[in-house]
Amino acid sequence: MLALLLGTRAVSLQAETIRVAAAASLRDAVTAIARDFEEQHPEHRVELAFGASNTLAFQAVAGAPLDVLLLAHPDLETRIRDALGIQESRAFASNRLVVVTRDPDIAIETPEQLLDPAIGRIAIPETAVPVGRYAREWLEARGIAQAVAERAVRTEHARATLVAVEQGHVDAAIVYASDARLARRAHVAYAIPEAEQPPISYRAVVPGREPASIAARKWLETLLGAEGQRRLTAAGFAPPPEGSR
Amino acid sequence: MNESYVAELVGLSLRVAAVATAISLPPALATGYLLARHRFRGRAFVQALVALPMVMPPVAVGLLLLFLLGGNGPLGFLWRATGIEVVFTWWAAAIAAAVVGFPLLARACEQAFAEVDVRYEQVARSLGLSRLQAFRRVTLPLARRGVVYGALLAFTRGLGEFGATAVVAGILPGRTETLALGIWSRLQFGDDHAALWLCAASFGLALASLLVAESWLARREGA
Repeated sequence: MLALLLGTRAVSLQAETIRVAAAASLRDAVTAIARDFEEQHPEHRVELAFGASNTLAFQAVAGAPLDVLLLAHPDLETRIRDALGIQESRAFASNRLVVVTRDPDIAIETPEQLLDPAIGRIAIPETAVPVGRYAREWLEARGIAQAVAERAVRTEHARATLVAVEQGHVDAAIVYASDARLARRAHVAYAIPEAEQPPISYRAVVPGREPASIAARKWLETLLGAEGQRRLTAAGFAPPPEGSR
Repeated sequence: MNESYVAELVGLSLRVAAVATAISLPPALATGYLLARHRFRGRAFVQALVALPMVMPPVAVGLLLLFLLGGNGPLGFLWRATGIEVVFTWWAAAIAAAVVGFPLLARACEQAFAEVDVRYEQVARSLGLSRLQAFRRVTLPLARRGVVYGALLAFTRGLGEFGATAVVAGILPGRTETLALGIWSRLQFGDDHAALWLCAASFGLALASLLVAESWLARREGA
């Protein structure tokens, strides 16, 4: 009887909700993975929040109860480590940058063409936002960061950057390849060559000074497992960079 | 076409605004009464303090709340001790809306109490009622019209709260996503169709609650 009671207690203790905050670019893939996860683990519920990685990291540091953060830039980890400690941190995906335009006739062959008069305003988030930072890295390497910054319209996060082009608020945007695939009213005008790509790495971070919860560990397993990786690939993400796990 | 999310967001917004109004009512009554009945040093300062959440950028209010209520904040120990988390739940949305709506309610209470002749209270006291009894049985009923009007205004303000809520409650679909947050996040993710539906819903909701507030005011004036 006692064993039975303890048994049910243990089960109910395991049945927990985990809060996962994810970079805006991950929205569709992670929503699908969360659905798979809940199907596989009916004892768990996943609550999702999406936004700019830096905002989510900030909210976590300020005390928002987040079990797992899926961040688009590895540097954001440092802040979380300093403030909250980190139990687990794994690279789980990578991405590429592309330039999209609303006008399908614009084809860009060199980065310098971003400064063409045909292209007026360019949507890029602040450098605090991962995609803005990656974009700046690339533009700096090409020596046109300053010129592009003068035409930049600052957007909230990666996905909002694509939306700005699609709605015609700007002429071009630097977005993730995974986001560009979702475009209906914009097209890839320039696929930035492999050699120029900044190293983009998404990391799953479990903050805290106590061991990660069972649910959080299961979530990481799903995310890094075959099924999670399949969802990410289907959404246009690349596998994590070699040796960064 | 499935617009069931509209009902869900409307429901949550109504709940958040109602709870927010309930939270801010007791302190608003107290400050309103204090300001209406007492002349003291620093009264102007208290009045300014009361109005502050209304004139500060809502995002700043949200940030302060986040630091105050977060796990590492000065009130964080309360939540750790009780196991009840507030930040990133709909309670945080309600608290944010309460703080931002408080000035409207407190000001309305102050005006309502100021309109009640102090002699009614004095008579009640002379008949043996305590201060609290006199307040509850004489002053409050006489000030009811203004207080309810203020509550309805604060409720309406709570319905539309965005800046503070987004910071302290996050945008968790199905958990903390009120109408205002829902519109914003759908715009950010390019779902204009849904954003417009939610706009229509919030237009209707705001209009309805303002109409209720105004008609309440008119009805009592006529009576």
